[in-house]
Amino acid sequence: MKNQLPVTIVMIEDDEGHARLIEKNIRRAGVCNEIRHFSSGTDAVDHLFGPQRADEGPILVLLDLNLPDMSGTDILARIKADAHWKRAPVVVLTTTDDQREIQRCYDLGCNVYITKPVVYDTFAQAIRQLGLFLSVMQIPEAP
Amino acid sequence: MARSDAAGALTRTRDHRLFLALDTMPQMVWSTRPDGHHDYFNRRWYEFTGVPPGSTDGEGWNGIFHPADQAEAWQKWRQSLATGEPYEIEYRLRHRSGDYRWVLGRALAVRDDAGRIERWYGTCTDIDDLKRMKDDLDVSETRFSSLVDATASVVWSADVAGGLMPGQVRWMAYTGQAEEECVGWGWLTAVHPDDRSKTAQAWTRALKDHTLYQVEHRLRRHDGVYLSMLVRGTPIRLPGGRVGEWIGIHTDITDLKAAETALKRLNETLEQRVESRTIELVRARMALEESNRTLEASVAARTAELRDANEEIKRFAYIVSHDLRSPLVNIMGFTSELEAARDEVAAFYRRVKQEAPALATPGMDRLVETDFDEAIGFIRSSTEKMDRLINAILTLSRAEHRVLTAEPIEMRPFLQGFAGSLAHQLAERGAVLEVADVPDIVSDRFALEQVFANLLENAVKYLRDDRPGKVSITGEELDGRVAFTVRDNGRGIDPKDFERIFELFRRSGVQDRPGEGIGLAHVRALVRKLGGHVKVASVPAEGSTFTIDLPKSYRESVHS
Repeated sequence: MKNQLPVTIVMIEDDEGHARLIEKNIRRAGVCNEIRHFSSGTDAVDHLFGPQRADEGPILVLLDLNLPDMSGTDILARIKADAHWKRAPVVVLTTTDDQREIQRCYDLGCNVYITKPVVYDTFAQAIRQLGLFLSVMQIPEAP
Repeated sequence: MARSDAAGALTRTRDHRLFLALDTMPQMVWSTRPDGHHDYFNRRWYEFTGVPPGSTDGEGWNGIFHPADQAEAWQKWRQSLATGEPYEIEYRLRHRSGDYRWVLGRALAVRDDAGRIERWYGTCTDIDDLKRMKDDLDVSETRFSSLVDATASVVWSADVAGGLMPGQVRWMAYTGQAEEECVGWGWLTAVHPDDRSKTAQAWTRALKDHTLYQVEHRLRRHDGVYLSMLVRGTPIRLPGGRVGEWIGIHTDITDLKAAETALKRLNETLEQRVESRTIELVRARMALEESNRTLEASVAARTAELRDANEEIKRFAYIVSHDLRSPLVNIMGFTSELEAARDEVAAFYRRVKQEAPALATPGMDRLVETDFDEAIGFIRSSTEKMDRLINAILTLSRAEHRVLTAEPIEMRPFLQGFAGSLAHQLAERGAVLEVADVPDIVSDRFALEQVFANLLENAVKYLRDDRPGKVSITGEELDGRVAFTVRDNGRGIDPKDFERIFELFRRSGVQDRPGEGIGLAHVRALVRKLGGHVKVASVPAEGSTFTIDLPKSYRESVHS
């Protein structure tokens, strides 16, 4: 069953600390899927739109908007405009709670927008819930 | 006697012939006896006087003389009769027309061989026309000399050779030259040496050509001062066209010259001044144009700078919200991880203490049970505060960049609405909010909400616990602006902090109330954006009054 193909979590996050905390909490939620971490936009784009993408199974993208080398919204736009990846769920995880930014992301087709709360418990809880959510959600396979 | 008679008859006959001859003369003739008795007047006499023949014989003649001349004529006639000397007199004789005419009367005695007077023969010549002419001439001369005297000019007459004629009284009086000095061409020495040549040339030419002589020269006055003169001379022609003499006039034009020179100088000065002023103006205008260009350029540059700065601020707000928060997420996150780790370590330590008490130390106890907590507590509270500050900056920055929308606001209900939102705080402090009847305005509702919410929260927050709190809002319209005042009877603000309280993160007085020092900075930024200004007045321990001066109607173009 195509549905059974393991979903790879693609985490695009330049802050190593955040990446680590996210990963910890996802694991705490009992999610064992592979997490591929890219700490720059360029690396993520190379991977997602590179020659080996056909080998890639279904993915879920955790996207930070503020990357040192490019804007997260550009990556979001590219994913959503791409025939191969357009159905892949994208969770925007960022520190910005700017309303225009949030709106823009949803307009571009982001599936969930989560503000990273400073209060860790809330953050951890959110990630864990996201982990739980991931464990039950159906991810469309790339065509 | 016969001889005498014969002689007498002869004489008479001779006389008769003579008288007949005398009748034909155009002149009045008369004759008398040696004793002066008139016994003969010729025809002309009677024609002139119109009196009957013989009526003037004897002494009758005197009666037709002008009454004013009768006495003198009688006296002179008597004198001549007495002395035998010729008789001559001018008198007025009555003409047949009734007018008196001037007559020259003359008489001579005719003597015999022995020298005795035989007869007197006299004539009367009508000189009236001549006399009148002379009178006219006298009047004319008097008039002329009066004119000459009355003018400041020097009138002179010269001969055809160009020399002054003798008797130039005016000339001599003016120049102080003596008669012998000025006659001939001597007058030229009174002319300024530098002007002599041109004067002589002009005079010579006029004399030769019989044309108008005109020249300007300086003439030495008797006191040695040279004065500018306009000289004009004209030839006087005799009957037949020959030039008999020249008459001329010197007119003092010193004042005229001086005025002319002054005027000329004034004109030159004026021209110079106009010119220099024009140059100044041109320079000023050029400078102005230059400065305008510079100004435009600098305004454009400044506008660009401000635009950049504005963008910078926007980016800054974004950076603050993200980049400052990111580390906070980590600090809080890993603090929690640390806490979790500490819990495990603590649990493990307690187990170790139970199983091997010798390993436990009081220092280790304190570390595990309290030091971890203390450190983590400080990290957490500081991080939380930092998060609040960052959020406040972000709020402020967003408010700054919000696009304002003006709408009519009924201010009294709007302000009374705060009594509801502040109900809890007001009740807590036992305070009341009073809103007077304030003017309505056209402005941005959201911004105004922020402004009044902050001011009212502050007013309530800093009320005193020892008396009933009262917060009141009033408003007054003046010249298209409305000034709202928010007055409280709270703890007040030290005057030295009046400016400081509007700065970000700055607070005044005892720090016993929660707050980040954001509210008033926010208020000032918003009020400025609305085209107004805010100020504070306060008496410490008595209360504060914040005044917000806003345009009655906000125009977006002004501050967008």
